[in-house]
Amino acid sequence: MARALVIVPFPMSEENLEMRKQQLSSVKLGEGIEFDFRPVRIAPVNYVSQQDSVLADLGILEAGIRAEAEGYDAVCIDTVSDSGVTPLRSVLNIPVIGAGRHAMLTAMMLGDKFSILAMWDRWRHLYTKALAELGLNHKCASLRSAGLQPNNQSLLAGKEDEFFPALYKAAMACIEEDGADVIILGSTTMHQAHAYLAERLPVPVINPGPLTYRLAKTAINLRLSHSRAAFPAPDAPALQRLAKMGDAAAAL
Amino acid sequence: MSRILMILTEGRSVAASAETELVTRLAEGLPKTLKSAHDWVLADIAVLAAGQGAEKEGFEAVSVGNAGDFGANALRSVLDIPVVAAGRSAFHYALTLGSSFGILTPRPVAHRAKKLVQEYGLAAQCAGVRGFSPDAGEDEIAKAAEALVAEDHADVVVLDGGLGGGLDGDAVRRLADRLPVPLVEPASLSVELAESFLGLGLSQSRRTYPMPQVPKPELVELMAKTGWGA
Repeated sequence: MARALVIVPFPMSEENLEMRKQQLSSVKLGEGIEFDFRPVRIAPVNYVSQQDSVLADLGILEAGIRAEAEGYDAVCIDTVSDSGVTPLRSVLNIPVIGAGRHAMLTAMMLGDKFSILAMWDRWRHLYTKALAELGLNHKCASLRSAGLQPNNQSLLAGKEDEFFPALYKAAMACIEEDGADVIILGSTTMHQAHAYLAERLPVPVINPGPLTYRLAKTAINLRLSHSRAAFPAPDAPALQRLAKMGDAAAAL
Repeated sequence: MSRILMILTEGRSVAASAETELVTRLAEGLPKTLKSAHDWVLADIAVLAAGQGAEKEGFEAVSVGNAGDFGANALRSVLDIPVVAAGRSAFHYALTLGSSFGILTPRPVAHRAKKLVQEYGLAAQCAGVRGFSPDAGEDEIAKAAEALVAEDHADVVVLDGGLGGGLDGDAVRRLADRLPVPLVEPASLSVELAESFLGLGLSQSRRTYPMPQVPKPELVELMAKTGWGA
C-alpha cells in the first residue's frame, strides 16, 4: 500500500480538517494508495502578501521535511499557491505534487488556453508568480475573481447560495469574454463548488486538490519524481532548527 | 475497471495498472515512414479511422500512444471521451518535474518533435531535441540522452521512442537508471493520465476541439482503407 502525505497549509481543528479531507471523495483513486492529512504548524493568516508567502514556505517545509523518513511515498500540498513545493523538492527524493503548477500543465493537456477562477483579487500575485516561473503567460486567457471573501477554515459552507452563482458568472466571463478553454479553480478551498460548476460550465473544470491525489499515484506508479537538476539539494537540511521553529509557532 | 483503447503506429507492449483493461490497436494504412508532412497526413487519417468509433465500442478513454500525436486532435474533435495525446501530455508532464525538458527521438523523425514543441508553445521550455539512428543500440541512445542533460541542460528527458525507434520496457528502465534526471516514457504515461482523467471526470475542452458540423466517419474509414501499397 502506497502512502501519501497531504500537507494542509493552515493549522486547523479536526472538524475543519474533515472538510479538507472531503476532497478525496470527488476523485476515483482505485486501490493501493492511502492519504494522511497534516496541517502545518507555522502559517500566515491568509495568502495575500509576500510576507505570507515566506511564512507559508517555511510552514510547509517544516511539515513535510521528514516525509520520506516517515515512510511516505509522495507528498501533496493542498494549496494552489504551490507554497513549499520548491523547498520540499530540494530535500525530498519522493514526488512532491503542488496543486498550482500541476493544474496549469494539466489544463494545457486538455485545451489551448486556461483561466484561473479565484474567490478574490488578493490571490492574484500567487498566479502571476506561478505563470512567470512556468513561462506560460501566453497560455493564460485570464485571471478572474468573483469578489468574494474566502475563509480557509470553514471554506464555502453555509454560503453556497450566494457564492456558487457568483463563481459561475465569473467563470462564464472567463469562457465567453476571455477565451478560456479550461477553467482552473484558483484555490483548493473552492473544492465544494467544483461539482456545481462542472455540471454547468461548457468546458473542463480542474479541481486542483483531487488532481494532486491522482498525480501522486501516477508518479508512484511510473517511479517518477522531480529532477534533481531543477531542484538541487542543500548541503545541510536544518531538520532540528525547523522542528524547533514548529514547536515555537505551535506554542503561540 | 476502465476500458482504454490505445492506438499504436507500431507493434509494442505497454503496461497498464490493475484498474485498467488496456486494448492496443495498430492503426491501419500507415505510411512506411513518419518523417515528412506528407507522411503525417496519412498517419492522421489512419489514427482517426482507428479511434473514431471508440465511444460506440464501449471504451471510456483513448490514448494515442505515438508521441507524434498523429490524429489526436482530430479524434478529440469527434469524441466526448478523454483522448490523451502521448506527446502533448509528456511534454507538459515533464514540466511538472523540472523547468525544462529535452526530447530523445529517432533522427529521421526529429522534425516532428520540433514541430509539436512549436505548436504547443513550449519552445522556451524545450532544452533540445537529440536524435539517434533508427537502428541505434542502447549505448547510442543513452549517449544522446546524456548529451541532452550535460550539454543542453535538460531537467527532464522525454523518450520519443514511439516515433519509430522504440526500446522495450526493460531497456527503458535501464536507460532511466543510467540518467541523472527523470525519464518520461510517453505511452505508459498516457495510460496513467487517461486513468486520472477518468477518475477526475475530465476530458478535452470542446472549445479547443469543436465538433465538426458534418462528421464524416464513413469517408474517414474509406480513406484509411483505400490504396494500400499503391
